[in-house]
Amino acid sequence: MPVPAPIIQLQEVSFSYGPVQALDGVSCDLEGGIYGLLGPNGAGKTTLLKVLLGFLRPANGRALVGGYDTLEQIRKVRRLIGYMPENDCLLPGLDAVSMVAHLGRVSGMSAGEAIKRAHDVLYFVGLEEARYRQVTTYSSGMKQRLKLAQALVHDPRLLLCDEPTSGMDPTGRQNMLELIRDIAGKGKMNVIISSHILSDIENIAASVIVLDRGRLLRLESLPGKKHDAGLEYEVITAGAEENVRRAMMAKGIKIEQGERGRLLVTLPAGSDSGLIFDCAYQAETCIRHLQLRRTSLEEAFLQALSENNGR
Amino acid sequence: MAVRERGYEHWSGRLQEEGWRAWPIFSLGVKKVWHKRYAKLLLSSTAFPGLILLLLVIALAKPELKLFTSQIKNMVDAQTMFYHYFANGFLSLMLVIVSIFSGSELISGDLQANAFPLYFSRPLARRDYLSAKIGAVFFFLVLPTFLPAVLVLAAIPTFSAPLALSLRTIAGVMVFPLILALFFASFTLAVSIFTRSKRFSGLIIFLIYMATDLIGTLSSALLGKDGFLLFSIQKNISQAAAFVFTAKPPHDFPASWAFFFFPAMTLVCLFILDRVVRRFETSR
Repeated sequence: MPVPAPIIQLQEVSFSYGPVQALDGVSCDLEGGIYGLLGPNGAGKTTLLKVLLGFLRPANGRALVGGYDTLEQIRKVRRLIGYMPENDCLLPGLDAVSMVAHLGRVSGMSAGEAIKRAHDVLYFVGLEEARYRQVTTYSSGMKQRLKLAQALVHDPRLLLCDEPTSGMDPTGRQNMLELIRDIAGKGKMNVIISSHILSDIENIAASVIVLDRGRLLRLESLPGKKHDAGLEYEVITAGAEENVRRAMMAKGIKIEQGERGRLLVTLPAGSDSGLIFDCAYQAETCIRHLQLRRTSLEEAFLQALSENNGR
Repeated sequence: MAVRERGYEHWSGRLQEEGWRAWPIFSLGVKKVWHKRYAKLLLSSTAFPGLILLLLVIALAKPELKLFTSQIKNMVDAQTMFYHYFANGFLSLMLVIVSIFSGSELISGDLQANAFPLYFSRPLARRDYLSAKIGAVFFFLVLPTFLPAVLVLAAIPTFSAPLALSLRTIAGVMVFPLILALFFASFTLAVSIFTRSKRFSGLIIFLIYMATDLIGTLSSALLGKDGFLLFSIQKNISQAAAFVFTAKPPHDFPASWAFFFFPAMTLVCLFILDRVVRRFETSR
């Protein structure tokens, strides 16, 4: 059985803005699925996306998308890519259907197909009610959805999302992540999400790429992805710890013993810290200390950065 | 079942590889200008000089109508008639107004709305984008220049007007307005690309037009050399028209310089546009 070609191949890609090395010999093959692109400010995340889009010409090395060279075959590359930029991007004077259909036509769709598809993707992202409104009147959350819709209109093989949840409220953020998960879940589309919000990446990405100062620090799968897991807290009670433990276990909370008398608790999916207070109330005691724990991705991310800084 | 409940669905069509990729951008630009307030009024008023010329040709062909008798008594050849048509100040002012009306916001609007990443993440080259934008302005500039001139040209044999018509005149009528339209289109966009405000870009275009004329005229008057009129867009149009239609140049500097001023400046404007769009393409 033939092995599917990687959707992205980076071979010793380097790029610098004058004296600043933005990408420094980045090499990797990305097979497919949802990738989280992580790194502090100035790590080279946006530069990497621009190289993939052919906006920037690498000083050394080469980048292939779907087997096409981003320098030599940029039109073919861009046919495969849908790009959701970080900043607000609109086409002024148009409603959402016209804007998305127009961009579909620029991608190479026929006028009729583009209109039909524009309606479909606007329904999909939840803008069906507002699709005939001028896009300049949209709220921040709606603009984010609109950007996703325009990136999807030509059904790309690779979706590049630059801070897709930026400026969204918690519900909107969750919806956006669900949309992206649903898109990638159909199997044909691969997604790269550049984000500062680690919990977002951990929530939906199957693998992470960690960059710092232009260097690729890590490319690894996220072990034991916790789609169904809930929040983790460190808890110290004022007493009656055994009773609290029993109450927590009865409510499905997982408990581990931490250092210095702390309980490390994992809540069931969908519940919040109120459940911990309920258990304390039930055990006739109170909570002295409650802190959200760092996620495993956050720990791995910080560790990778500190290793790189130590070099 | 609602689309969202079904989840994401792939598109089964195929993207077209051939064809002018810029066509949707061109047609959107034309539509936007056409639907602007006062567009029809302004664009129909640009036909005024052409309409007068057409009436003169008809009056010349039908002397029994006794129309414009004093105006047509000196009309003997088409090239002088077309020279006066292209060299008159009203037409050049009209070209500036139409340029501002149709082109001042085509790129500055995209800049204001940060539309470049949306366009250039698609299989669209810079030259596609620029040719679409220039094409939209060019379309509206051709309306008051090329179209009436060609109609008048066709009217001469149609009405059997007694006007001498040379091959050079025909070529001049076909090419000169296109050169002017291309210059004004690229000039308008090259100025408007430096600002996100359509009003400001319109104002700057108009000021440049007026300032070049003022500087050229003042320098020429103070220093006594007509060569300074090369700075003036308006004076260059009349001088270039004299070159194209072999009329006596109104100013004392080679008329061919004025003619080649327009293609040269068009190339400069295209270079500026390409560089600036390239900068925006990589910096967003």
